[in-house]
Amino acid sequence: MKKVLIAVLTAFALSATSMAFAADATHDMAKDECMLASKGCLHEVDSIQQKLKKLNAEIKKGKKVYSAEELKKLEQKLKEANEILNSLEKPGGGGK
Amino acid sequence: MKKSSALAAVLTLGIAATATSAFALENEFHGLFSARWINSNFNGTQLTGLRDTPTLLNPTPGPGPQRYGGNGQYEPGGLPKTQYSANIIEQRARLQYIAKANADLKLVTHFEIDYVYWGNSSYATGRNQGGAIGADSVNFETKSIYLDANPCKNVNMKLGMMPNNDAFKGVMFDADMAGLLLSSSYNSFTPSFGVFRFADTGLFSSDNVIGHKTSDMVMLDGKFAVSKDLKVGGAYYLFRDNSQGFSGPNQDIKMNALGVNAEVTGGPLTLNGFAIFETGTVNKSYTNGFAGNLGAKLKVGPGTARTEFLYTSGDNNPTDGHGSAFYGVTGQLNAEHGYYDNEMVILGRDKNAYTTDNAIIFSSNNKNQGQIGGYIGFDLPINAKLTTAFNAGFAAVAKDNSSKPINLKTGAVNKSNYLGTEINAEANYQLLEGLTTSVRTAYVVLGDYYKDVAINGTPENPYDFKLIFKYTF
Repeated sequence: MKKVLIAVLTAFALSATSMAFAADATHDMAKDECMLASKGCLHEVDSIQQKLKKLNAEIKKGKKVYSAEELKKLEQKLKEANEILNSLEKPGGGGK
Repeated sequence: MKKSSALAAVLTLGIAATATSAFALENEFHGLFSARWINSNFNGTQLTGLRDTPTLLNPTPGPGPQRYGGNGQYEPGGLPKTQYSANIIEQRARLQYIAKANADLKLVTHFEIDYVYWGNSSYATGRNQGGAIGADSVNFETKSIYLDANPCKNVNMKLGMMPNNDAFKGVMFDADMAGLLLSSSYNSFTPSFGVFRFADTGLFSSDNVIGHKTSDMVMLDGKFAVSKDLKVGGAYYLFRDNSQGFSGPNQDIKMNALGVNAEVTGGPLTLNGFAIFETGTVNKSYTNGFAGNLGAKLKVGPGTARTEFLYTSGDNNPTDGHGSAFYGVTGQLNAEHGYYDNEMVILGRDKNAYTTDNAIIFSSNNKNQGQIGGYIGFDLPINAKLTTAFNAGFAAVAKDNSSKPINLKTGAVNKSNYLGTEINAEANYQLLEGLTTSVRTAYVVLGDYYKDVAINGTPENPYDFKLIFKYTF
């Protein structure tokens, strides 16, 4: 029984490793969209426009997906995102 | 022993994992870049930034406040009626970093780097400098740094240097200010309370101690949504200013402002407005001021028609001990409020103005003259990428006083209080996501308030043209 278990685990470990190598091989052949077009970069953050779009899309899903409390949180986040955009575009600056 | 070592190792790993997740931050990084070409016989000329006053020691002084974008106020009195047109390229960048520990705690930071115009200076030290070849200037500005936290359910706290604006379309204050703002939300009711320190000149005053000579504000604000279509609100602000050399040489201001606002929507029509009553003392002069506003928006076909009306009270004789001029935050803080809903470019503050920021009516107080203005406009989107807008405005001072320029032909001030009529138009086109290019042009037919106030007649009607590239992310 013990031997069978070891055999199964070994087989699983090997297959996992090969899958990882296979994934690496595929990855090696893929274009690096981050280098090429600044897309899909690891740790990328949303622009304010992307954030607004995502929040609006989530709020649109409504009560089918989110509870009333969660929707309130999303709406608050949407308000904050709009405030960020307004603060960036806020006119003036004195200059005296 | 072996077991306890293993347990310790597991616990250490567990603690390390917990600590890592506790310190994980959601990083938000946003910003703006804008460059604009300004062609104008108004902005960038001596009409909006007089040369320094000649003295015996310096009979031919250099340029005045215009080198920093202007002193805000249009002052054509005593200058040639015709001005060369200014050609300026102005540039601004803003960077915002937000470190969010969780939904209840974040640090907000906001910075700005301006060139008031390309070519102004290099190897310089100071805000808005460094636009000339070589650049290399120390010109980094910190706008706001504050903590935004929800310490308990239904309570939000903002602490630090934060953007804060009034509940009255910015006619009293709209600025970065240091303080504490607590706000809450109970169903349809949203109250807030704040204390702010505008300035502390104690160390430079005769008292020689920090915290004695200050300019402060206490605010109480409440909004109530009666229904989906009706919102009402009220606010109380107490301004107390005994600073020396900040908003005036030796200020003594105690001003109470109480205002109400409302917004009602019915079908395609939205009406909003406010009324503010002020009572207090400005440098020992009893002052009772008033401001009233009414705005409307009506959806018409593919567009939206807009109208705005604003009145702020003025004073014929601000030095007689009984003031009636609307008190807007003044002195060095003059630019720290602004009414933009009228969509003016020259007659009122321009929503597209950056460091170059001038207007015929620059502040709510308007040199103690107050204002009466009526404005109409129409927003017309053409397609998903192109939007346009058209506006017209008509404005006068509410009361004339010694600030009125003298008619150099008659040697007396003009009877008319009419400042002028503005027409403007804009078009905005989205080139890429986040990148917009806009053109906005404005022309003002000056009123008889300015008749023959220039040294050789009536000043030429001012115009302003801007071509703007703006990227936000």
